[in-house]
Amino acid sequence: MAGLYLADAVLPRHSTMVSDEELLARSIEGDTNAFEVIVNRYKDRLYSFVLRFVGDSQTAEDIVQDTFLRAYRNRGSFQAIAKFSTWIYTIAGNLAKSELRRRKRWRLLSLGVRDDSGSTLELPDLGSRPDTTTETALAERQIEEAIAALPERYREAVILRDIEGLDYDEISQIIGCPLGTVKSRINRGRLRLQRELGSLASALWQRDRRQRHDEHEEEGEEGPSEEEDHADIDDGELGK
Amino acid sequence: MTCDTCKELISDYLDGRLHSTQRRELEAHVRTCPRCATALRGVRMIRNRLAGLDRKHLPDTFTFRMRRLLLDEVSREGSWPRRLRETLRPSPETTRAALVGTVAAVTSFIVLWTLWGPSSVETDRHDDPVAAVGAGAQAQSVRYVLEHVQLQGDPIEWTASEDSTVRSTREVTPPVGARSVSASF
Repeated sequence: MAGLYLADAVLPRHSTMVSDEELLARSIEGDTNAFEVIVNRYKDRLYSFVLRFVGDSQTAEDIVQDTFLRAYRNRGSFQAIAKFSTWIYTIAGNLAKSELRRRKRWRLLSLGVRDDSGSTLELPDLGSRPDTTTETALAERQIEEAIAALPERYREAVILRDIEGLDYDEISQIIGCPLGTVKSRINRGRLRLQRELGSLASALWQRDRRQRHDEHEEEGEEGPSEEEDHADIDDGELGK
Repeated sequence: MTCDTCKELISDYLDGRLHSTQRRELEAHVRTCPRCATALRGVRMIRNRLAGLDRKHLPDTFTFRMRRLLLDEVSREGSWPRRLRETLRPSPETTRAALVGTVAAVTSFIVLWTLWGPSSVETDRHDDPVAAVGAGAQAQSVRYVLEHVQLQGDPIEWTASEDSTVRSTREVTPPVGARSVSASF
């Protein structure tokens, strides 16, 4: 049986071009290296999703580890009718929801407070990103807090759609709800965030408007007219 | 379009999922309703900011820990008790095939029992000359025939021939009262 190698150099050069399903098929045949490629591809994506969902870094790490172990043990039962990403996100989501249910029973969830395990909610460290302005970092912190404060069913949908970038059909399969329910949860989650971050959203919009004016001035062009400024209705961002 | 309807459709509008009629209605409403315009602007801003949030990263120790755990899994899968369990455990296909076979066997048995079971044999008895010999006889068996049918003539001779048929000069004489039965072998 193929062993595990420490150096990534032994991985095929074109490993990024091999599909997830192909890698899983190889791991079923005994190529553990192939499964390690899957781990490297998905570990940060799953961690981002689970961390924002459960709000605790250590718990999120354990859930991601558990997700990969379950996927490895049950790799033979993966049905190729669904995408591998859908499958692994579903496992991670279910484990995260189980953890949240367990917490509700023990009433451990509390924003911004050290729990008994000593871990804290993972919020952006203002000093860890010197390339961004403090204003941006503060805004991101507020957004992360607002996401953590969303009801669980809205939070999961908004994270999968707006942060992870998954499409509606895939989210429907991951969450296990009809498409209409998914759309409703995403919309209501966004509206709640907009209400929670109302002043922030206005400030961000004003700042972006100033930036657009500045950019136009630098290029020697006339700034956007007031009508264009207020043309949020159709500013070409649809579908982004 | 009302404000409530507009708010329900904001996300579909931003994701490009509205058809043209609804899109125009929403745009017309937003132009005349400052609150909905603010909501639309806010949701768009939030959506864009969410898309720009950084991905969280696991520490490097995670990769090494996963490697160790996967090695443990490989060892566990290679252990003989597990291999034996896996060997003895039928695959889903085997289970399905066994189920189909069982159903087919039971169905065949039921059909055959209906066609040639004891109740169906009862109705054929009267056509059978051997059965007609003895009134009240419960079963037609070779033993019954031997007990009730007198065989006369020479024993069966094995005659080797090109077609290897068995010829006998015996003639079966039915008992008195029975219908004439003659059997030539």
